Amino acid sequence: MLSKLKKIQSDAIERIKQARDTDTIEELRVNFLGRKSDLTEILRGLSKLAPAERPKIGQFSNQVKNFIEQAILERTQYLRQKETDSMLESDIFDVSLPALNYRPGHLHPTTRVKFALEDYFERMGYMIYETDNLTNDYDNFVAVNIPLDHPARGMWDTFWVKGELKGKGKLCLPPHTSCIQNRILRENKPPYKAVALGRCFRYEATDATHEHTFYQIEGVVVDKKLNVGHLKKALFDMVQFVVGRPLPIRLRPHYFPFVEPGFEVDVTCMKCEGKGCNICKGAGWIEMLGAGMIHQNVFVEAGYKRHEWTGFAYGPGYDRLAMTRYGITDIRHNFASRREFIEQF
Amino acid sequence: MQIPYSWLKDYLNETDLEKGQWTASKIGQRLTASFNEFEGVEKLAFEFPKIVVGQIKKIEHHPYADRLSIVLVDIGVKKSTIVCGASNLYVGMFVPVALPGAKLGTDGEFEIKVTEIRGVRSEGMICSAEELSLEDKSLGILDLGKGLKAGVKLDDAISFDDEIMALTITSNRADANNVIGVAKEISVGCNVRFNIPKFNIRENSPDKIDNLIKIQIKDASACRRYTSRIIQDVKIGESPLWLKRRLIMSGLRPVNNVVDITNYVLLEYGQPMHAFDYDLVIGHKIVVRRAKKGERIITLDDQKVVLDDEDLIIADEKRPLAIAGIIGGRESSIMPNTKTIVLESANFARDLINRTTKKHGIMTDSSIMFGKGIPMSKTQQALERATFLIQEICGGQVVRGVVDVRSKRILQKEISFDVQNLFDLIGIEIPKNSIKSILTKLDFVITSMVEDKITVKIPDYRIDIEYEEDIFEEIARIYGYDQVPDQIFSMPVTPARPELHRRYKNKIIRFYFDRGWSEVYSYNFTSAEDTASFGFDPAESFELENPVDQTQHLLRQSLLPGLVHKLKTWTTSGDITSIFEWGRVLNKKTKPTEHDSFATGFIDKNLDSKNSFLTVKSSFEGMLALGGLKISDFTASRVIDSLVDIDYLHPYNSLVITKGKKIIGTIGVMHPTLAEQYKLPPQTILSEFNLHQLIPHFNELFTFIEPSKFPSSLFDASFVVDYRTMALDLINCAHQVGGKNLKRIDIFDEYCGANLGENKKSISLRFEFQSHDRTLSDGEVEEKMHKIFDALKKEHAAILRDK
Ligand SMILES: [Zn+2]
Repeated sequence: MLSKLKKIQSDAIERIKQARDTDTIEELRVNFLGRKSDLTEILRGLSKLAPAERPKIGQFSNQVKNFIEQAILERTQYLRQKETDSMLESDIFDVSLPALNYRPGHLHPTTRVKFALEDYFERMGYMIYETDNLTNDYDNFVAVNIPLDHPARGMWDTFWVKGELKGKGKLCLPPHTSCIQNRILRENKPPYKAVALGRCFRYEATDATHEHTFYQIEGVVVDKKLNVGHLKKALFDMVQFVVGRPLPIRLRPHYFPFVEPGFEVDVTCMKCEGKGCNICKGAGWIEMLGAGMIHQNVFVEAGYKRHEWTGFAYGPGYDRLAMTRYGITDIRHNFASRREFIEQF
Repeated sequence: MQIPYSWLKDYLNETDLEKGQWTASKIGQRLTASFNEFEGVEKLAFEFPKIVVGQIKKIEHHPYADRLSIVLVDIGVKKSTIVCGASNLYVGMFVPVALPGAKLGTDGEFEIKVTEIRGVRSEGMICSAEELSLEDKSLGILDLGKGLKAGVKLDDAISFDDEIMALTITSNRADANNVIGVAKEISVGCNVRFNIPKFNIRENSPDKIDNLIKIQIKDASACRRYTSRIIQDVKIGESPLWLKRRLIMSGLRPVNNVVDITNYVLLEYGQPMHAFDYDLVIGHKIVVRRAKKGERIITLDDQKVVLDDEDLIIADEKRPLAIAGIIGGRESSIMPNTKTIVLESANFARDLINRTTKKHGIMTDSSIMFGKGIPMSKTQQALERATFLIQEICGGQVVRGVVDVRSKRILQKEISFDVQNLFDLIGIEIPKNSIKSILTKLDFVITSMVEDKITVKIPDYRIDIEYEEDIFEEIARIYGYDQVPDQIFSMPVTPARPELHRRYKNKIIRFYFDRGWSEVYSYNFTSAEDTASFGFDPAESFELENPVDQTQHLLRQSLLPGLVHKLKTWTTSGDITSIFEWGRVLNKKTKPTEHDSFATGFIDKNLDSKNSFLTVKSSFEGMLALGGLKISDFTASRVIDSLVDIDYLHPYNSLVITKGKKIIGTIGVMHPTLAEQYKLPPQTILSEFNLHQLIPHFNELFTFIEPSKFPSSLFDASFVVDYRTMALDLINCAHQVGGKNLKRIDIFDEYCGANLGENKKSISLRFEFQSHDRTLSDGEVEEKMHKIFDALKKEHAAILRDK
């Protein structure tokens, strides 16, 4: 009897080992462990055995049964894994093929910087305005302390447009976003922070560094007792956001009729960190924007009482910021907008 | 402006400069922080290869030519013989000598060679300033002055070790746009004492000026001060080298000694001057008056100017001598034979000069200076300086006395301020003794200082100082903005402006970008041809007065012409071009005249026009979904069926989207004729939307309706219609009679085939009925469908197809 059991066990193990698929294993399970199998017969016939033999045979039979069950389980797991593997390998495709129904889109680099700046200013609690393309003498000049016959008018090479707006003088394209200062001042009750973004125009020939159409932001902050230190901090924060690093800035005295005192603002050269290089022409600084404390005449023109409020304003060109940020050296790329340029952004 | 550093040093204390170890570039950097932008230090740009300093040793007459001399010149390494035709040579004179091989002329086209001139060997050329291209016209050989060494290179002799300082002076500081003004700023900014060179005029003529000339100002508001001196027996000729050198380094070209001196004083003081030939002033009378209408003058540069009665002129008894403050007349100008000169230094009204300059288009250094405003105190200072220099350089006798006619003295302005206001504006407490010392050095006179209250007299030349803030800037810029600490400000948070327009515009831009469109920028400027080609009336375009390009003189009414030009450049590479632009467009007739526009251009070389159109339409519909909208929220019709003229699109294969009477936008196949004109393929798709019309309809306040618990019934039907019929029209028609339980209609097939008959097509629609309160019976649905069939037949001649 024992030898018969041993034979069953060795036969079963041998055949399980040779099984190539889970169906065969299932057959083997029926053959060796099923109701009609030899092993089941033996277990069923235990009661007929001599009592002395019974426990020994019984114990051994169960051992054989467990052994076979374990072997079937292991082989099944092994074969399942193999089947899964071969199934996975059977439908491989090329995942590097181009995406379906997708064409990459591209935003103009200046738009990218505009969006970034708008996000920044919104988070800083600024109101956001957009300037018009057709403006007038009053908004661009008279309202910002540049009356008719003011000698500084020559500073702006203005594109004039035939015609006139009643009460506002000759039509023109805005040479600067300061055209919106009067409106911002009139529309809001201090304290407030506002920025305006828009296209500006200067009558000049276009070359690698000059463009008659360009973009500016006008920042206007009005409150009691604002001073040059506040302006410095606001500019430093904005520049840090744009260039991504806390680079020192400096204020140089400069003249703009709508601010007093007025500044040109330089930022430490991003390339050489101030040591001097070809980008900054050895100066270590790069001129980035104009700024200053709002002239009281601008407040008065907008209906405020002189000296009741203070404020500062600043106006970086954001197409230039984009050029600095992305390393564009020829400004003419912006409006040529050729495929080779746009598709890099 | 460009200033030779040596000239500035004339006005600065040498010991202090040495003590502070100041150099031109170090001074420049300080000026950038305290005054105006310093651009850098330059050396003189002229170079003179193979031209050396020679000293004349002997002059002999040429044996065969009366006008020529044979000159023996020491050129260091040897003595050369040179034949020369000039008459101003003398033994011992230092002159420029061009050696054989030197190239003269503006482009070096004239090479010096050893030659024989009338039988005498000549080993080079003795040069005038004209021949060296240093000035336009020379009267003789350039006299290099004294104390030179024969044989040294001319470059070194002319520039010495001088440097040119380049500065940009802002327009408000016209008073400092000159040597003295900059020297003054250096003195304050660098803490170097200001040094005023002394000069004395010898009034060595027996005549008194009042006996020689009468000067009358007829318009005191236009000419606030007129000063004059007369110098007799002057010799018009070459200026000395030092003077020429300073002019050249400052960017001016020497003319003759008198003109050079007035230019020199202009650069030094910032006061324009003029010199007349006394003998040509008819009646020896100078009248400053407005011109008579139609009066004429020929200017120094030979322009004939017809004056009007606003223009201010300097006249004698009979005729205009000069346009005041702008340019002199040819007839009374200084000529080589002029003996007696009348010097003019005057102050003319800024606005008037600007208007006359603009009117006649005559821009001179003088008109620019007067146009920015010149302080009255300079009038006589400059006159005295010029008189001194003329006497020194041109010789002659100075007539006794000065004519000084002035309308009124302008009171020196006083401004009082509280130092607390200064601290508040600048953001730092500046010590009072610093305030005092800065103001004093800048020529402000402190008239009182009681506690925090300071009163100052403004120097008369600082016409830019009007308000206390202007004084605060003066103090702060010298004290140093780098001293001001950063300060954080906080403000109460106010509700954000609604600003829906900008937000949705940005979303639309991002949406198109996500859908594979690329953004381009183009100019606002366009041509009348492009405007008209797209069917816009150029008469409705705003027009530039001063276009950079005469053909691009109109402001765009639409983004499409610009976009089409971009499409052309893009389609040269790649099969697919899908570009968009957003921006402002303008039209004189619309209200408002300006609006935001969004336009797209699409070309796929592998698609037909129908599928190209539908591709673009998918982006459009997706964009509408951003604002919770569908095309069916608007009226959509083909261009040909709409009430508006859209010339740039195919009349049938296009949609005009309107709401009420407002046009929201268009989308369609580019008109084939226009596509051909612009050499674009026939499947080019254009679209443009008025964002100011579209975005107000955006509304994300959806209203939820609980889905019906009852089943819906579907009903499919195909119709044969004319091939021009739009499925959308059938749907709209069906909805009108379908009742409230007709939930939706989908188009599931469109088909053209010969079996349908000529010019016919089939449209298959799926109708979905559903009620909110019960299950609809087949009978109910069929009844509605019959109504729909009847309506479609009546309105669109739609024949139901058998299945
Ligand atoms: Zn650098």
